Formats: sequence, structure tokens, C-alpha cells
Amino acid sequence: MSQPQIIQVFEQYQKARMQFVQSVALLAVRPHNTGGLQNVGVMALLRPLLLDVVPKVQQTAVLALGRLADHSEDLARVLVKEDVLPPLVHSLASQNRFYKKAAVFVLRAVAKHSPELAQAVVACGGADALVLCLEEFDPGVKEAAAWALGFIARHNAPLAQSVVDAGAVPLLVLCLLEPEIAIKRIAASTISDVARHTPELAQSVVDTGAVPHLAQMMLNPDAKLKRQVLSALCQISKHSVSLAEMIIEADVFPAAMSCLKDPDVYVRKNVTTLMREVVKHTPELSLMIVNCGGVAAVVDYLGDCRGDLRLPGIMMLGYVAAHSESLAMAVILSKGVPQLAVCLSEEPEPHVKAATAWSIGQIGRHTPEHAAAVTRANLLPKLLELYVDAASSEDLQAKCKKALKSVLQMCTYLPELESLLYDAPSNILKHVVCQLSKVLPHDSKARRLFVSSGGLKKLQEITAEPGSALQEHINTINNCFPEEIVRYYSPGYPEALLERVENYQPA
Amino acid sequence: MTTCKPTRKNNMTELHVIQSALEEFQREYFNRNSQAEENRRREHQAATQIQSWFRGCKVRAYLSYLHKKAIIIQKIWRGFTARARFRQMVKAAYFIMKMNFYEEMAVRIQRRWRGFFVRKYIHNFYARKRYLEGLYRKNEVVRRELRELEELQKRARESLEMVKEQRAKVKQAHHLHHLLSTKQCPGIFNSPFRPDPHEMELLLKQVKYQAPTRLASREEACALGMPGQAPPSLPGSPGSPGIKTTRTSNASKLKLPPIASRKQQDVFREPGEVWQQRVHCPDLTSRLQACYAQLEEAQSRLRQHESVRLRIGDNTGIQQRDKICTLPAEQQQRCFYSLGRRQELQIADYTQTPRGEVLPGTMGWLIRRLRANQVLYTTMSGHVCVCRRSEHFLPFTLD
Repeated sequence: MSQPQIIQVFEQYQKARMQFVQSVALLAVRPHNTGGLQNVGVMALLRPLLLDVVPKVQQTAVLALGRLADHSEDLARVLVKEDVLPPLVHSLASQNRFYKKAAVFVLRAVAKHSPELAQAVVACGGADALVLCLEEFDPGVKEAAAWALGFIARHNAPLAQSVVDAGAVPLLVLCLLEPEIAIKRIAASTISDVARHTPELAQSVVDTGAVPHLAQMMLNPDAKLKRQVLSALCQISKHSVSLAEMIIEADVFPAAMSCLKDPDVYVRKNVTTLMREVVKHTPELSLMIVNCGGVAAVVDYLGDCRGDLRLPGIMMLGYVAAHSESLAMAVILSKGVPQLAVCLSEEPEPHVKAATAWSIGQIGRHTPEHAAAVTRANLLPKLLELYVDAASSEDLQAKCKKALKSVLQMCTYLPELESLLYDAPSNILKHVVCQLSKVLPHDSKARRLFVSSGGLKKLQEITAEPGSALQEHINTINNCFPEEIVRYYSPGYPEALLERVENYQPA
Repeated sequence: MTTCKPTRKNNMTELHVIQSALEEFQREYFNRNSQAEENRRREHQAATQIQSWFRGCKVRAYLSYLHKKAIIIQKIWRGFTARARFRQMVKAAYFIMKMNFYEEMAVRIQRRWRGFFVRKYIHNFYARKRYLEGLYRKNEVVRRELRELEELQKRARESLEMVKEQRAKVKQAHHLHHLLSTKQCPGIFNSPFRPDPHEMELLLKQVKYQAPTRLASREEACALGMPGQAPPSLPGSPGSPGIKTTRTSNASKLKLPPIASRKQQDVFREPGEVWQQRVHCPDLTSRLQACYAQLEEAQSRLRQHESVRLRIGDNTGIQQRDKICTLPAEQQQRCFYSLGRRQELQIADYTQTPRGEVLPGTMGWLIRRLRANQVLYTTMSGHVCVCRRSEHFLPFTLD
């Protein structure tokens, strides 16, 4: 055969390979094709192509593998089992940037599914190779590597630790300084994934000086970047007081509140979460947030959003109020209680309701003044209703009960207490009657009102075990009324009177 | 036998009398004896009874005597101890009373003080009220500011939208330029049945026609999907940051100016720049600026200056001179420290220098302390040397 003929054969073969790989890669884009591709044994065919002489074929094969692994965990597992990863990782150092990007994509696709797969990626030196890729000049490669590291670190603390040990964090911080928005986003998200697990990991992130950069980027106009940055900040601050103080020191706070009016809901949610994480540590931190008007802003935020987005805001109010009575007063003053009442009635989700009930309990438990604020919003009947409702979850019931108890123990507003007398179950009734027994002996007008509104009658109808606390409280109340009145309102009184008429012997 | 007188007859009778008397006596004696023997037991018992009674009396009397004495002792002792205890009790009671009083007074003072302190500094009602009012105002301000900010952002977004829309319209007008009505034939936007033309017609009139630029077939690389094309299939992946990869293909859409036209670059510089260049006198390097005798001059100047200083501070003793030796500013020292290795080489050279003395006015810089009494030292003339500290006049002698 002549030379041109030989060449023609080879060209033909190369074209066919190229076409094959490209079409597999195209097919792999659709998730529903993966099953079919797997059934026809695509792995066995792609695997030799990874070592193809033509770089373009190689790289497209890697890309196809990455897409397949991205869609199905099974295929990802097969990839790990057939030891495809180690050669990929080794070739990362030598190949061009397109190949690197594709290979890093494969690593990411494998690592994203489960901790075991991510562990497999780390075990074959993936983390170190990815960190090397972070040093690459090409922004695409950097971004892909940061993304893959984020997926690895996301699963659990040991994996995140291995990412940190590979020295990724300083490079990620450098990535934050890149001009490309996409790299910034990914770097911020990876930092947040690393910092979320343990205080030590968060500390290692802080030690690389990430916080000032993150704080600086918080006001970037790009919404997605803001989301990631804020989530990173809140993952850092959630662990300990010192870390939260670090965040405060970076002057995050009055500035972050402007994000509460961002058009993007997740930015708003993340800001609120950040506030919650900062606030929960100490009264001083809460005071700082309260003083810069954070509570009012969060209350407004609660008015703007619905559903799960409200949860961090609700909890933030609860955490602030839990610290001290003046902080709880600040929440009340910022019109937090009516807002929480709205949340309690609007939200269908039981866990949001439970959080709201908890927050209300935290606000009302400090002084009678606080309890009065809660009662004025007409929250006690609502809480009681939720507590009694058989449809509400166990957690919600427990939270409602706790809130009711803590508010009732401070409540001195009699009409509200009386209304509770009628439909409260005995374990709540105990607290209601206890409050009544504390207030009535000292207030003659209230005693009169209590009798005329029928409270005394209701009280006599309560059957309590003799010797129980409830009975004692009832006795205390009875003691502050004349005996005839008490007897008059006792349930069997008409019969007793009639009996006396029968037994009466006229002289 | 007492009546034996010398007359015989008499004696005989007397004897007989005596004998009868003797018998009498014997009988008597015997009777008595037997009687005595009879009564003996009884008498003995009686005697014993008497004795026992007597002795009993005696012992009882003694005992009662002892009792009486014991009671006396006891009553005195008891009285003594009771009085002592009573005194103690009174003392204790008095003490307790005093303590109660003190404590009550202390409580009174503490009550006042604590009330005052707490009211003033901790639960200051007015301060709290002021704080809450301030907070209320602050909240209002924050709310207003946030609302304003939102408004501002919204407006900015809207204007951006509008601009974008306008641009899209103009672009469309470019594309639809062929629909512009002509003098002969009205276009579709200029219907003769309408009172006035469609706004698009006006836009079309405004827009200047541009010949379509032929774009290079830029999509050729698209079949080869870079990983950049992968992310669009992923947005639903759980917790994915929802981020699109930077597209390198974006770059191809950017229209770059043609490379060939170098015409745009001006041959001439800006007039101001040219003027600058004319006027500007290039800096002489430091070597050119310095006089060749500068080092010596500086040394002599320093020496003069130093001698004046030494004379002033002569009587303050060795410490002062120590200070002079380490006189230069820290920055200079640090600078020397940073030089590090190179100087060590120099030291090696200079340890060979002959023994000499540092002149009284010589100024130098301490580089580092080698041992307790040795320092590495540099003179102003640039010699590095090891100095040993000596007791007398000079702080360091030159090795």
C-alpha cells in the first residue's frame, strides 16, 4: 500500500474515535441517557480512550466520563472501583489546561456523591493535585479545582481537614482576590464548606486572613457571590465566640444589614443567618447587633419573606431575647412580637412554628412587662391551641408548652389568665392558677372582677387531686374570698341548699 | 481469908465459918457461873445489838455529816460554775445582740448603697428609658434607611432594565431596518389605516443603517464541549452553589479592533510630556552626586560632634559611654542585622587586624553582641571589628 492510503486509514480511525467520544459526551449531557450508556458498556470503551494518542480525544473522553459520573452515583463508584482516578490525578500535573479542567471535573463529579467516594478521591492524592491546580494560571482550571475541593470538603470534618492539610485554604483566599466573579464565588463557597464542620477548621480558615477579604466582598453587586460570602461568614462565626468576634472586628455589621434589602432572597436569608450565628454567642455581641438596629431590620425582613426563609430571622429574635431582659425589651420595642404572631399564624410548617413558639417563650419569660407584651399580641391562646392540637408535631407541642409555661410564670394580666382557665389542660392550668393565686390576694378590684366574670365559678369546677400544687393554689384563692361566695359558686350548691330546705324543721 | 485471927478456938470456928463461907462461896460461885453461862448467849446478842445500834448511829451520824459537807461543797461549786456559765451566756447573748445590731445596721447601709448603686449604674430607670427610646429612634432610622436603599436599588435596577430594553429595541431596529417605509411604499409599521405611524417606524427612522459585519463562524468549537458547557446541566444538583463557569467563548463575542491598523497610535507624544522630557534633568546616581572626599569629611564632622558630646557627658561615667557605643538608631542596627551573612564574611577578614584602640571620639554601631564582654562593632569608616570591653576609660578596645 502507498503512504497516502496508510495515512487515510489512520485518519479515518482517528475521525471515528473523535466522533465516538464527542457523541458520547453529548449523550452524557442528558441524565436519562446514563442508564442506557452504562448498559452498553460505555466505561469499558471510554477507558482505553483516556490513554489515546490524540489529546483532544483524551480530553473529550475524560469529559464524557465526568458527565456520566456527575449524573449517577453508580457510575462514579464504578470509576473508583476500576482505578480510573489515580492515572487522572497523575496526569493532572503534566497535561494542558483543557485536559486539567476536564479531569478536575471528573474528580468533582465523583466526590460530590458521598463521603466514601470523596474519600476515595482524597486517597488517590486528589486533594493535593487539586491544590496544585489552584495554582494554575488559567481561571477556568482554578475555578474547577476550587469547586471540586468544595465538594470534597462539604461531606464531613475529616475530609475538610484533608483539604486543609493539602494547603488549599491560603490558595482559596488568593482565589478570592481574582478578578473573575465566578472564581470568587466558588472560592467563597469552598471556604464556607471547609469552615462549617469544626471550630478548628474555621480557625484555620480565619488564620489565613480570609475574613477581611470576605467582609470586603460582602457589598459586591453580584448576588450569588454575596450569597456565598455571607454563608462563608456565617459558617465561620457559628463555632465560637472568638470567631464571631473576629467577624465583628472585620466591620461586617452595619454594612451587612444593607444586604437585608437585597433583591435576592438567599442573600437576605444568609445575612439573617449570619446575624443569628453572631448573636447566639454572648449578650455583648447581641447588644452590638441590637444597637446597630439589626433587630428592626430582621423584623422587617420577617415581614418580607415566607416559609423557611423566615426561620433564621425568627431564631435570631429568640436568641437575642434569650440573653437578657433588656435585650428582650429591645426585641419587643422593635415590634418583634406582632411579627412573630404573624409568623405563628401564617406559617404552615411545624418546625417554623416551633421556632416561633420558642422565640416567643424567650421574649416573654423575663418580667411581667415582657409577658404583658406577649399577651397583648394575643399569643397565649394561639400557643395553647397549638399545644392542644393533636395534629401538631411533638417538638412543636413541647416548644409550645415550654413557651406557655415560661410566659405564664411571669404573666399578671388577669383577663388573659381567666380566659385560659376555661380551656387549658391541667398541666397548663397549674401555672395559670398559680399566677392567679399570686395576684388575687393583693388586689381587691381584681377579686371583684374575678367573681363577676365567672372566674371563681370556673375555679370551683376544677377538680384537683387533694394535696397537689393545683389544689393548694385553689385553696389560696378561695381563702381570699368570703366563705359564702365560695360556697355559692361551688358546683353542688343548689342541691345542698334544697337539702337544707328539706331538713329544715319549722319551729 | 481476911478474918484469920490468932485465937485457936476462935480460929476453929473461924475456920469453920470460913470453910462454910468458902463452900457458900463455891456454891454461889458455881451458881453464878452456871447462871452466867445460861445468860451468856442472850447477853452477848444483846450486847451485839447494842453495839450495832451504837455503831450504826455513829456511822450514820458520820455519813450525814459527810453529806452535809458534800452538799456544801457541791452547792458552792455549782454556784460557782453556774455563775461562770451565766456570765458566759450573758456575754454571748450580749455579743449576739451586738452582732445582730451590727448586721442590721450593715444591712441598712448595704441596702442604701446597693439601691443607690444599682439605680445609678445598673438598672438606671432613666438611662434604660433613654436607651430604649434611643433604640427606638435608631430602629426607625435603620428602617427608613433600608427602605430608601431598597428604593434606590430598585430604581437603579429599573433604569438598568430600561436601558437594556432600549438597547434591545435599537438592535431590533437595526435588524428590521429594511422595513422602513420609503417615499413610494409605506412599511408595515406605517400603516395607512392608522392615524400615526407605529413607534417602531420612528425608531427605524432614527437608526442609522449599518452594513452587517460578517462574523466568523464562532461556534465551530462548540461541538467539543469544554467542561464549561457542563454546568448548565447541573443547576439542580443539591447545594451546588448555582454558579456558571466562566465561559471562554464569551471572549469570542467581543469585537476587538483589527490588529493591522497601527495608524491609531500617534507618532508624537503629548506636548506636555515632550516638555517634561526637555526640562527634566536626569538624576545623578549617588556616586556622581557625592564628593570623593565625602567619607573623610563626614568622619571628621562626626568626630568633632562626638568629642563635644563626650566632653559634655564625661562625668556621667561608663554607662554613658556604653550608650554612646550602642548609640545609633535602632533602624540602623536592624539594617545591619539584616545584612547578616555578608558581614560575617567581613568579620572573618577583620579578626586578623592588628590590635588597636578605638579612639575616644570614634563613633560606631553595635552590630551584635558576641560574648559577654565582646561585641561586633563597626566604625564610621566602615571597618568591622570585634571589640573587647575593658574596665578603664574606653568602653571597648579594638581587637
